[in-house]
Amino acid sequence: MSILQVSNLKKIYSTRFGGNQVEALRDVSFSVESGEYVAVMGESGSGKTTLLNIIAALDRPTAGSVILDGQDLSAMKENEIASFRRDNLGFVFQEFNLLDTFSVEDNIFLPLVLAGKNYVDMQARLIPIAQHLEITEILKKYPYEISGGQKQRAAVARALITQPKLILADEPTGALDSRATDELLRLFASINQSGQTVLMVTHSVKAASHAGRVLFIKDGQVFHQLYRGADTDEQLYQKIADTLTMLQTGGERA
Amino acid sequence: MRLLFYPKLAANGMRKNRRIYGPYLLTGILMTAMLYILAYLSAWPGLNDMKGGATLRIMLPLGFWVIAFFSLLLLFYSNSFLIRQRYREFGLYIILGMDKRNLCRVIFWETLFSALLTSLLGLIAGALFSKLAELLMLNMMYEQVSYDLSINWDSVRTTLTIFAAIYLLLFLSSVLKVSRTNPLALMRSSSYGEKPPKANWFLALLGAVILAAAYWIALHIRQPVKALFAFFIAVIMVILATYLLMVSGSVTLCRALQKNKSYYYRPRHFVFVSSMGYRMKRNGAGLASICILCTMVLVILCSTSSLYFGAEDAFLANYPNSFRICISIQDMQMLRSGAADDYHRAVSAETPGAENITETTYFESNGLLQNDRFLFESDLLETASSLDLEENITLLYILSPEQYSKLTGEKTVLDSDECLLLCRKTSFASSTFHLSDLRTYRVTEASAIPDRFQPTNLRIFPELLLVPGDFDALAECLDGMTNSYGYSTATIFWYCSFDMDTDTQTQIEMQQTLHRAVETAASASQDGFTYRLDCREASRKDFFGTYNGLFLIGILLNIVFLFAAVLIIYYKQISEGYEDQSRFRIMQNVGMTKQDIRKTINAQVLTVFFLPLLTAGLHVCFAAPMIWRLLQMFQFTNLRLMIFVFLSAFLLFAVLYTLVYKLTANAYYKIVSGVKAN
Repeated sequence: MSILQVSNLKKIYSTRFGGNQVEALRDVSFSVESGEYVAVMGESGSGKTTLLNIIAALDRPTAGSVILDGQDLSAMKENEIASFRRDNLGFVFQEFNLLDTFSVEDNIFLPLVLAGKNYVDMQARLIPIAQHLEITEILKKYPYEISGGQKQRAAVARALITQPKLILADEPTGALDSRATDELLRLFASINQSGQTVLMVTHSVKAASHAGRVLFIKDGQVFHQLYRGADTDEQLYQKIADTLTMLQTGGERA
Repeated sequence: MRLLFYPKLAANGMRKNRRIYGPYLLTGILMTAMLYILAYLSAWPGLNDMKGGATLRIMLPLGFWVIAFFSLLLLFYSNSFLIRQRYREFGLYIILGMDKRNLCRVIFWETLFSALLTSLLGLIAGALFSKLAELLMLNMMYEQVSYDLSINWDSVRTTLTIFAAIYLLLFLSSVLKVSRTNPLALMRSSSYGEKPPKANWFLALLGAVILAAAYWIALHIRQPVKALFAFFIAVIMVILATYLLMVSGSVTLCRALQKNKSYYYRPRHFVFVSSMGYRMKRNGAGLASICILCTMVLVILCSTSSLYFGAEDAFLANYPNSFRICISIQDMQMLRSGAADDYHRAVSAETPGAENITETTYFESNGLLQNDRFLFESDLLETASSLDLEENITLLYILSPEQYSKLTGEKTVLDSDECLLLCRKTSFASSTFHLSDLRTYRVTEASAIPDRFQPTNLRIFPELLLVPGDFDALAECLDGMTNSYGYSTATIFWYCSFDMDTDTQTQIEMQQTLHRAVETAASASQDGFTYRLDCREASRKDFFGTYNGLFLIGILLNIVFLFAAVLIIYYKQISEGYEDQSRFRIMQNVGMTKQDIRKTINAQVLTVFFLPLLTAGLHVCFAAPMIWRLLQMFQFTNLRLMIFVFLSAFLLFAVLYTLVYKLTANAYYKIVSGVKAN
């Protein structure tokens, strides 16, 4: 069953006085099945983040549609979108986006509090997730007191606690060292194995090599895609690297 | 080319940072103008010739130094804000290869440009507005006005010297700040998280206790003379307590609310409470300053305008008639030989057409009223401390029943052990009255002293009017009675007050002829004599000079304080705007709608904004009784007028404050919404 259906997405940014027009997305179509782990790859400026923002309904497309779990996001009103985002989507960002005014625990609770859940329910949901992510000890600490890897795991916990249909990750390993990166990628894989759908945008080959499928975006279009099939992470890593080389050197599609 | 590099860089920096440099320069201009105006008015030659100028000669230099000091504080505040906001830019300069010495040169040029610009514009504005202030003052004092503009170069020099010193200090402090910190580290500082605010129960509690104590003092000081000192102490305590409460009290409250899980984990409270703690930690001091400034503005506005609007009332209460004459009569012997009639003839010969004539003779004495006993000052001088006497002194008048009947037009019959006891600014509840150890009377009536009998214009002290049944015997007893120093216990006075329906000039001339007539008549029959002669019209300028001078200085100080409050508010909004930018985005990502975010930020900003106003209102409420007592020293007695003035001043101020909020909130929203989601 397809959980996310992106069709013919187009996004044009115009400068302030409408002079210059920049085409961030030309024509992007793909779909994500429930339980899939998809990585979207591309160089800086290829339109990855624009794509993610449109899927998250933080930005509106110029043309095309995004259907998430059977609902067309472009047809929704602003406050419907906010609650839809809260209930169905979980976000993980490169720069963690934890609020420094909250403790780790309160940061994780934030979406639940906004949804009006009571403290006992929230606590019950938090315990298993915190154990899985190994952040039980740091729950009472504040973002400034913990490491980047811990911050990112807290951000993942915040994304997971609403039990979303889809987790959107934007360069989640971008600000982490290699050990924390490995840990986080293992975590994403294990979350995915427990049935969670994940869509990750990255330009790190290593990050992408943990995914089940890799989409390549170039010049605002889906250029190519790779399925893991029976490959190991290392084999997939090699295939991705080869594809990128091909994209950068022989770039033109026949 | 190389010579102009730093000046150009400095000018560029100032232009690029318009948003924060603008208010800084405006502060400089306003303070320069204010200082010049005050210097100009203090040095103004007209002050010497002017009636009431004496008061102003003392008050204006005082105002001058208050404003000079305030300029220093205010410019330091905005300069430190300026430097903080520009660390990133300075860090960039260092990356581009400047060392700290170069940076100091940039700062030097920026300070120099600011100094030149603000001094020039400030003096121009000062020159224009000094004329306005002068006209205002002359108009208030009922003096002739002239419309030629003049510049006092001495005042220009004084003003420039003070500001040169201030800017030098500013430059040194900026250099110190830049050289002490590492701008490179500060360039990245914004991306680091901030420690959560810690609840400091002790300081919060201390603040509450001090505030309560200050309020208690404000409510429990009764004596106006003591009130001045107590007021000063209470003001300091309130300032301290406000800082403590705003800085630690608010954070402590937020932390306590966070501990209450069922309250804290609600959509409406969650974000609000947690970020309020941070907001108060950063802005507590700023808010306390705003609160103190608001309180000052309100207190000054209320008290000076109460005085100003109550001046006519107070004046008429002090001078109910056009003229009032009290002449002493040496002893009963002289009184019996017709001294009062001599005075009457002498005065009435000079005052044809006098109306509403009140005439009487009475004994006057000073002393203490202790419970139901009056003690003569002459007796007390030997025992009590003079300070005690000064603060609690009561004036006693003794009238015969016949004179009292004449005064009121009512027949008064009293037994020899009975008396009437009338009061002004005091009350008497007991049914017996002891006149020192001389007499004890049964009080048959205790009411207010009739307005037409008012021998003194000093309506500060309590007054008692005794009408004894055995007046003649008492008079014989008091006659010539002295203490061991030869200080007489009571003095006989002839009292006369009347109205004249002539113009001011005629009345002032009449005062002169009366002086001569009274002196001639009094000296003809006795050696030593005292007399008081009050002419309402002659006192008018002096009286209003003081009041209007206070009002004028009040207005000038208020403009400065108000501007300071607005400046702090503006800077606060700007800095919060930058901080809220990133939070705004994150909250949107986790599923808050733009309206929700705007609502919670709005609630925070509103709380932060109106907290000082409400606190200031509370402070003023508690200060009101003390102000009332202080105003009484200025012979202001209209309580209803004061309440009315207080309410309208607060309302006016609240409207103004809200207006400022609206304007600065715009600057805030521009910054916050400047960055779209991601």
